[in-house]
Amino acid sequence: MVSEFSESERQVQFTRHFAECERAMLAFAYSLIPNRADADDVVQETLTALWKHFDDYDPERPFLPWANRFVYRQVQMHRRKQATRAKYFFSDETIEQLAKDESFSLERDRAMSAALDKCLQKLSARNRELVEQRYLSKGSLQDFSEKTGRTSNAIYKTLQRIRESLHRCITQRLAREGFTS
Amino acid sequence: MTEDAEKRLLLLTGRLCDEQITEEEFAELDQILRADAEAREAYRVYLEMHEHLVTGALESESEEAASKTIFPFPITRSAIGLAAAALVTAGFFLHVWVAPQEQVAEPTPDFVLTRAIDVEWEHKTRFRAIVGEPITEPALRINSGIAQVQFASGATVTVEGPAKLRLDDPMKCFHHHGKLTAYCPESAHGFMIRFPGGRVIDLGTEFALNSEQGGKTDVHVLDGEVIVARTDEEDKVLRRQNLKGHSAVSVGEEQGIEEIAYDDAPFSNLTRDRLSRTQPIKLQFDLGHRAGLYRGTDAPAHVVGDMVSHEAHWTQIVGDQSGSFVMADGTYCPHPIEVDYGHGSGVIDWDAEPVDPWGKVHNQAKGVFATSLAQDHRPWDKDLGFRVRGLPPGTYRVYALCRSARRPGAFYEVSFGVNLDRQLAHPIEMPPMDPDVIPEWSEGVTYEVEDVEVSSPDDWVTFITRYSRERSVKATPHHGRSVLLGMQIVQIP
Repeated sequence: MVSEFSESERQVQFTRHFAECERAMLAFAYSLIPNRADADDVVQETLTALWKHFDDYDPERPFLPWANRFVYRQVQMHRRKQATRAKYFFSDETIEQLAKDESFSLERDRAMSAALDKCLQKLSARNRELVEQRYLSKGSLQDFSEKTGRTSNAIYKTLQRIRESLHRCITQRLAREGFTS
Repeated sequence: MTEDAEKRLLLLTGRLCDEQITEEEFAELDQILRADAEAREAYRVYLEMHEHLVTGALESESEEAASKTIFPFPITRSAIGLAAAALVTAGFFLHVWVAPQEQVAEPTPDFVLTRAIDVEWEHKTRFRAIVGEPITEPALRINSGIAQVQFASGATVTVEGPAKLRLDDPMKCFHHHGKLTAYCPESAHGFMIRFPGGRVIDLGTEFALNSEQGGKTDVHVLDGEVIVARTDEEDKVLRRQNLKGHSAVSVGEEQGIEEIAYDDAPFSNLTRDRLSRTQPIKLQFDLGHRAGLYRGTDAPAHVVGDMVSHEAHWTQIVGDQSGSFVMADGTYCPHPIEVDYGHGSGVIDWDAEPVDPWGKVHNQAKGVFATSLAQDHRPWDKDLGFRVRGLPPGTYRVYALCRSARRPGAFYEVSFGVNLDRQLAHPIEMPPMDPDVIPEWSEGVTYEVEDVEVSSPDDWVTFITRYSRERSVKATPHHGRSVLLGMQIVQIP
C-alpha cells in the first residue's frame, strides 16, 4: 500500500499506534515467553519490524492484531536464536494454541484496565498494601515480611489469594462486557 | 474447568509471574495450557492483570503515588547493594552506576547546613559542618562569611559572620549576635528567634536581625509580618507589637521597643534573591523512562559529591522547554534557561520534536515518569541530542545518565561539548553493563561525565548519544536505542 502521508506524519501515526498498543503487546509477548526482559526485547524487536512493514498496514483495521502477528513471529525467532534469559519454554504446541486463542483488541485492554481499577478499589486497605508492596514498592516481600512480622511464606500465600480474587473479579467484569466467555 | 483446576492454574501462573516456578510446575502449566482453551483464557487474563499492575495500574490512581519510585520487578535490595559496593571497590565506579534502591525514609534532621560561602568557623577544628549534612553542634559560630541553616520546619536562617546562632529546635533558635535573615514558609509560621532582651515570632515570609554583642537588636521586616517582643531576664514578655513589611524597630534594654528607619541594605548579601545569584548553578533534568530510579539524591553527581543530599529537585523535561527553572536545591535559577531536544542520523535536527505519545494514553505509560524523550520509539533515528543554553560563562560538569541495564553488551558512543550538531570525531565509548556484576533485573544505568566550558550564555551545552552497532556484542539486537534518561549539570567553581 502506497502511503499518501509524509514521512513525519507516518512517524506520528506509527508512534501513536504503538504507544496505544505497547502494553497489550507486552502482555501478549509475556504470555508466550514468560520472562520480562525477553518480552521487552521481543516487543522492541517487533517495533523495528512493524516500522519496516508499516506501509502494509491497513489503517482501516485495528493495529493491535496486526502488530501481535509480528510479536508472535518475533517470539518464534527469539526462541530459535535462543537469545533468551528465560529458564523454561512452553512447547511449540502450547505457544501456537496461546497465540491462536487471542482475540486482541484495544477495547479489551481498556476494559481490563477499568476492571482492574474497580477491583483494586474493592480490596481492603491491608490487602491493597500488600499488592502495592509487590508491584510498586522498592522493597522485596522479604523486607515486607520483616517489617510486618509475618512469615514470607504467609505473605506470599496471601498475595496469591489476593491475585486470585482480583482475577475472579476481573473475569466477571470482562465477561459482563462481552470480552471473555 | 473445575474450581480446583482453576485454583491450581492460577497458583502456577502466579508463581510464573513471580519467577518462582520450578521446572516441574512449568511442565504442568504447559500441559494445562495446551489442553484446555478455558485455562488459556484464564491464564491470559491473569497475565494481562499482572502486566497492568506492573506497568502502573496502581500508580495512576493517586497523585500521591506519582512521587514514588516505580519498580517493575520484585527487587532484592541486599543484592543490588552488594553489586554497587563491588563496583565501587573494583574501580568501575566512574563508568557504571547502579541505581540504588530508594532509601527507607529517615526522619528529617532538625538542622541542615545548606550553604557556606567563604565561611571561617570560630572553632575550625571542632566545628565540622558540611554543606548538605545535618548540624550536630548546638550552635553555629562563624567569624566571617555566610552560612545558612535549614530547619526541619522549613524555616531557613542565613547568618553573616561574625555571628553566633544557637539551634534549639525546628521552630526555635537563639541569636546571640551578628546579622541574619530568616525566611519562613507556611510550614514554619510561628518560627521564633530569641535574642538578648527580646524575640521575634514570624507570621509569614522574611525578616532580618542585626544584633550587637551585649547591646540592642534591630529587627527589619523585609516582607510579611512578625511579632516583636521585649523580654526580661526571665524571658517574660514585657511588651510586644506587630511589625509589617518594610518597617523596623530596635529592641534593647534601655529603649524597649523603638521604631527606627527601615533599611535592608545591610542584609543585601543575605536575601534569598541575592543568594540564589551567588550560588553555583546546579540543574537536574529528568528525561523520563523509569527515571524514578534516580530521582532523589543517589544519582552520580551526588555519589561523587558534586551535589549534596538536599539538592534533590529534578525538573522533568518532556520536550523543548525554556524559562525559569528550579535548581537542584529547590531555589530558582536566576538565569533563563533553554532546553532543546533533537534527533537525527549523523547530524542532529534540533527542530525535530519528540512525539509525545503519552499525553492521551497516560495509563499506558510505564509509570508516570515515562516521557517520549527516553523512549525508543524512533527506530528511524540513530542519534539523540540534548542541549541547554543560558548558563553564565564558566565550567560545567555534565553528567549524562544514559542507559538501562537491559542490554549487557551494548556499547554507546557519547559526545559532550559546546554547540555540537553531530557526534565528535572521537566520541567517548560508554562501556556496556557487566552482566556478571549486575543482575539483569537491577535496572542500573550507565553514565558518562565530562567538563564543558561555556564562554557565553548563547553557548549550547550539548550532549549527543548513539548506539554503536560496530562495537556492540553480536547477540545484542541490532537496532540502536539511543536513550537519555537524565542530566545533571553542575557549575564548577
